[in-house]
Amino acid sequence: MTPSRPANHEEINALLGAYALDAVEPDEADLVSRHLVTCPRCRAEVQEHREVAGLLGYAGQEAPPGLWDRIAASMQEAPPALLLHRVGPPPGAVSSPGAGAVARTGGGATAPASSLAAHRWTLRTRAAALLGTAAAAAIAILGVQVSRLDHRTATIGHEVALGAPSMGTVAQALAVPGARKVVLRPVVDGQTVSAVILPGGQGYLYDAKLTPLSAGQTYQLWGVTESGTVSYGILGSTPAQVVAFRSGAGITALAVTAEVAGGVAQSTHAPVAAGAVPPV
Amino acid sequence: MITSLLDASDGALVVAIGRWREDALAEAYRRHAGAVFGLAKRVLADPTRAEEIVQEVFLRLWNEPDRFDPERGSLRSYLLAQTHGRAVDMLRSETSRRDREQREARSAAVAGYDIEHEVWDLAVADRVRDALATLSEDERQAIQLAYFGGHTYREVASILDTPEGTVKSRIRVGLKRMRGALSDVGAGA
Repeated sequence: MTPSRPANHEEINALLGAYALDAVEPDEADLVSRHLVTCPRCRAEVQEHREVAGLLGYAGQEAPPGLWDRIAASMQEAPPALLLHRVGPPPGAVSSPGAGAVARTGGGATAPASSLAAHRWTLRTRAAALLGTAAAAAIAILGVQVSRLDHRTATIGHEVALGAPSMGTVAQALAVPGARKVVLRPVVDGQTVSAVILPGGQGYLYDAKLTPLSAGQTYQLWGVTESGTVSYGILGSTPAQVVAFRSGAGITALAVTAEVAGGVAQSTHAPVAAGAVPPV
Repeated sequence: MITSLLDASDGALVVAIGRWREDALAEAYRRHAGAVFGLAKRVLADPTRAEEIVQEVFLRLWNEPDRFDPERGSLRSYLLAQTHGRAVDMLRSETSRRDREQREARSAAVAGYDIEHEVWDLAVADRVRDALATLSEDERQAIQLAYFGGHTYREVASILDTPEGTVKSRIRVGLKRMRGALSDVGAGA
């Protein structure tokens, strides 16, 4: 095929079966891919061919034992570097830094449409995360409910019902039925912290391995929920051995960022550590 | 919130994966890893490299779940399309050239009957077998060489000593005919 010759619809049509089976030449694959972008009908045909091929491809066997463990291990070795902005920001969300925080004074949900992209922080390499935060378009960062942040600007820990938390408190908490343990894994070298969340929402951070920050900075804890990301409070420049916090309903992940002292309503920084909260 | 992952649809699983639920990825793996591994091994004839592909495909689902669009097809066909693309890339890489030449001779030798032995998923095997039976021998050969053999239609044409246009058409017509015969079988089943 002469690459410069424009292909007509019929020629492309004739390639769809072979294309769906990855059985075309690279130049033809490009040609078809470009066509599919604008032609829903051909796209549907390719998808149908792939569904059929998928049925043929099932050889009815099991994956080798131990393979899942290796995948799970890779997930942990390379933890998702959280980029604290979402992919696919809602239209019009690209605004000057800080504008988002002002707009979000209500206590309601701040997440846009419940698409995957809206709920998930982009997973990227650390380098990409840093680049991303540099971009002014780092939008919709940690959709914080500002009204809830107001009473959390002091170092958290004084809401504790159980008295000054200690490792003993943590041990008790971990023993409570239904307690969920979260390990916040490093996004930035070697910084980790663990947490336990009790069924009622009371949580404790402990075992923090966080590099002390300068006096002008603080660590800040964030909870990711179904409806947005909420500040759970600031931790100080050198977090205490055990810090109590209160988590909201539907929490799916915890993250720690380094911020200016006093904390921020929305973070533009990649977390130093983050971890998924197991489901209830 | 998903209460039971075992009952969750594939689409719901992927949403949960998007929220970092490792258990959701584990469930997707439980459902589809066998198929992914089976296809990769079939194309590459190399269990070690097939395992690499399984790992790659599921880590990619973990890292980029929003690439899967449930509106556009089943999770299984999405995973298998990725698997097939990767396997074929590996096959066509320079280092695989010699292996591939050996395989060409082998696939030509087995073409025509092997495909049926590959299809025995208990749930849909009968339907798929019936659908395969609607194909002509020529169509079946062309699809097998392209899909399992990892050959381009041009290579298939050369192996079968048939015009390229004829091979393209056999693949497409064959797939369409099977689609008709399988219309009530969910590809994600």
